[in-house]
Amino acid sequence: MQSKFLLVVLGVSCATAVAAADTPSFDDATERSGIRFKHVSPLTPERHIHLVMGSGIGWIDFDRDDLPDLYLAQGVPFGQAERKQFQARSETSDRLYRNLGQGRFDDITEVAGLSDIDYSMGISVGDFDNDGFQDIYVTNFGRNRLLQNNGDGTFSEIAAVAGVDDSAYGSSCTWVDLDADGNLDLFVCNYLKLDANKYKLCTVGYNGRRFAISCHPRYVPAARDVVFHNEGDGSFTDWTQSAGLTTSPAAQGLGVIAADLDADGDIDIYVANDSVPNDLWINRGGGKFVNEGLLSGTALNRKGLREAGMGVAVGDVDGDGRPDLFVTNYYGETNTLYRNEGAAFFLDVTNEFGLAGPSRLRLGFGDSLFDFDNDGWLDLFVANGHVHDRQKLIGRDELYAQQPQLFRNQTGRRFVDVSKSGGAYFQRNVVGRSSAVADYDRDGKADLAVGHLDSKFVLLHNASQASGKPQTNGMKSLRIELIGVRGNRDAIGAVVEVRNGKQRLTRFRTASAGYLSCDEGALTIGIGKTNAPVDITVRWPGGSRETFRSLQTGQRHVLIEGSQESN
Amino acid sequence: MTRSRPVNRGYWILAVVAAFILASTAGAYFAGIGPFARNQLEQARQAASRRHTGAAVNLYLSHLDANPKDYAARLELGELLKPIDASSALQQLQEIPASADEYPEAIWHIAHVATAGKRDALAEDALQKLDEVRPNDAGVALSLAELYYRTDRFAESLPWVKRAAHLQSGRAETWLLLAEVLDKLNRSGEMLQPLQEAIKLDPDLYDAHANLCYAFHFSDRLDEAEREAHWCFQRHPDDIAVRRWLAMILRDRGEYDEALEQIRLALTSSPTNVECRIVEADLLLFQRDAEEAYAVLKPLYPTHANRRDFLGSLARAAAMSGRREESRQYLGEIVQLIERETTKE
Repeated sequence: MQSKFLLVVLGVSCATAVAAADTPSFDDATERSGIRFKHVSPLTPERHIHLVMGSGIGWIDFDRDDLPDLYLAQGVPFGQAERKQFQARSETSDRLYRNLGQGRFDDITEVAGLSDIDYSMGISVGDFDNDGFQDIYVTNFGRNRLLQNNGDGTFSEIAAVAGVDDSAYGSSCTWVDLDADGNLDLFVCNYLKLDANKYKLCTVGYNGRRFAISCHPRYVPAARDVVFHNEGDGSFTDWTQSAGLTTSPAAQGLGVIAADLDADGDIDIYVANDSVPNDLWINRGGGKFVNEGLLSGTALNRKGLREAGMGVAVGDVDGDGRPDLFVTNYYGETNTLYRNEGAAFFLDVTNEFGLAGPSRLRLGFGDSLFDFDNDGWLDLFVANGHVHDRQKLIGRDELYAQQPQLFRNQTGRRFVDVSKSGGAYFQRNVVGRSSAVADYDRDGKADLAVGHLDSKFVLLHNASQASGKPQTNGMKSLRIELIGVRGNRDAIGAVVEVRNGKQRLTRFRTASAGYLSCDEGALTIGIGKTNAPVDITVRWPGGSRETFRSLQTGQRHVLIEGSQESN
Repeated sequence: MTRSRPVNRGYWILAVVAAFILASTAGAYFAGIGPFARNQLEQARQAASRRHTGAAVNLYLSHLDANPKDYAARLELGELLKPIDASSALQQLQEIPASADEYPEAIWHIAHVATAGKRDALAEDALQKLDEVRPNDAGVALSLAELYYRTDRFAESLPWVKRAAHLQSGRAETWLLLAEVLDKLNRSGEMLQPLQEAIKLDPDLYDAHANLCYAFHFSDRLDEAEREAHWCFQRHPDDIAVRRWLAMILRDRGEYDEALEQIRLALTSSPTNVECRIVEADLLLFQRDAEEAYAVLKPLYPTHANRRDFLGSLARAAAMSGRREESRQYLGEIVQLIERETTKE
């Protein structure tokens, strides 16, 4: 399984353009992209809870043409009759859209041999068999699926054969090399124990009437997260118990990221749980993990309260080189920014960073830390939308559809809400769920894909510019593709440091993003106005460091492990 | 989180009692009670009016022995006994059956006595019964709302305070209570409208302005929150809670030094105020001054070890100042508090 597809290409110039961005603006490019995707998840009169949770988005360059393609998870109506009716229609199943370039996409689901009639939830993209072609793992309300990329434009569903067809109610998931053996393992968040035949339903009383609402997760038993170890021969074994990755009782997991959070060279895992404390699984080496959520300060918020964690994003928001965590939470709570203080300790700095107030009266799901203006600081997108559509009926002043939010990072000290200048999409209320980042048109600016519950998918093109004049403020970016050799081929878990004068930019290669989703594997790194070549140091999974010198800005660079002198 | 101000409890009850006394006195006079009985009853009333309470009580009791169904007299006796012997008063009032004309007034008195004596179950029962006979009485609804609020049954309080506000929308304190109930139900985002209503009715209602400062802050309307804080300082410059909110407003706006200045100003008059110390410590931690944060919190530990927010802040200060084991201890205590709360739920 180590047949790695080695590209000996370095510094491939593709003239990635320069972005400018005094005024953030995203235009809705869905229509012109050719993507016609409507998520299907009609609410039942009983308000079954899985129908309000939404589905994920995954960016994947499945055909290795350096254009990120798009995998969109689909829902399905609940109930036999509704399901049959739905499956007879064309929008059945998840969809794979091939990026044709020039911002155009083509639906190739059937050609690729993909179809899924279950309610799909989370997506993680990673080359689990190290053959150079990215594979897809999809969690379901039902059995999960592993879609192995055959390298010829088609996929094979091999979850059962590989032993990863977990049947619990899966949510976010991520590929991650937990034991640094060069093979990607799999961490799967599971949410609730729900049985289609004995489904827990809830009601709330108001003014002498009772209304069906989706159950609070506290009233439904949680399902355990699971971890599968990649044996390197196409099979996986359940490592959950032996790795110590279990909580007692089980927690309602929704969001997950994997990164080296304590800077000790191995990969840790953070799980955002709904209504119970979050977990921070610190990797002790040898495939053993310890939950340091509480001690690390990431289990609770600054008031010592459990929050309803949904999505989680990781990124260095304050420019100190350490991965910080941003978790979206429930209405009435704040989303929470945990600043990494080092030594596996995090500080809730949500208020100080200006992110508390803007999130209290919203229910956050998808979150993406990305540098939309290429100034070198990670900005923030949050997809919002309530889980209850009947709040007015029960006398509560809480919107179901809510405005999405865009925040600009002000030099690592604070975020400012710039949604008003973000474009038309940010001015309307939507039931937002998932979000994922990619520079899909290769203009050097990170774009956004946003999924909505039971409604249309939206592709937001980053059209940021200064005072209406494109490319006038000189902000540049680099696009970095990492190829692991000793470690996993996708280099998932790698840390990239860009030295740009006095500024040090640190970015993390992950295989999950926000809520149920997965960003593009290539990293678009904004570097500000510099024209000078930059040095990039890569900390590869497994711990080795390697510096790539004098890389030109405004270009794509493929960095291959071991091709430079290590340091 | 909000500031509680006792709403004018008893206002409604007293009004009804006064009305009742007039009515019952006249009623008894015209009722068909025998001459001897009427004589004894008159004597009881005269004794009561001369404040010879003991004699009056005995005369009433004698009268009632002979006329157990004279519910007007029983009601008078109950009212007379209220300030001196609440249990006996209740005993008399509870003798009055639902079929009697005096029943609604009797329940009012029962509710009054029960509320004053913190006999909440009895008061609740009486008020609920009264609501059945007087469904449009704002006083009943308000009394129930207050009762539930006082006993931490906020979800039950909400419909009653909403009804009271609907039935008598011109009373500012009712809107204030509605805002406070919403806050207790973690619906602080809905406080703005009732608070603004309260201020419209009574522009100088201080607690409404103070709570509005809090509610604006919660709703991320920081400039308006600051404006309310300054309105409050013009009247009560030493209001520590409002000073703390101003510090939090400044912090959330990114004015960290000014926030620290305000919170320390609050602490000069109340150095052991734990909520202010937490804000101060968190500001210090944000600026990575963990030693000082630890120093301001640690002395409060013996008296505030049951607060999750305090323990959380102290745990962070301990961890960031290198006291990892101590931090672990505080976090363990938080877990115990969570487990206790979960068990309660």
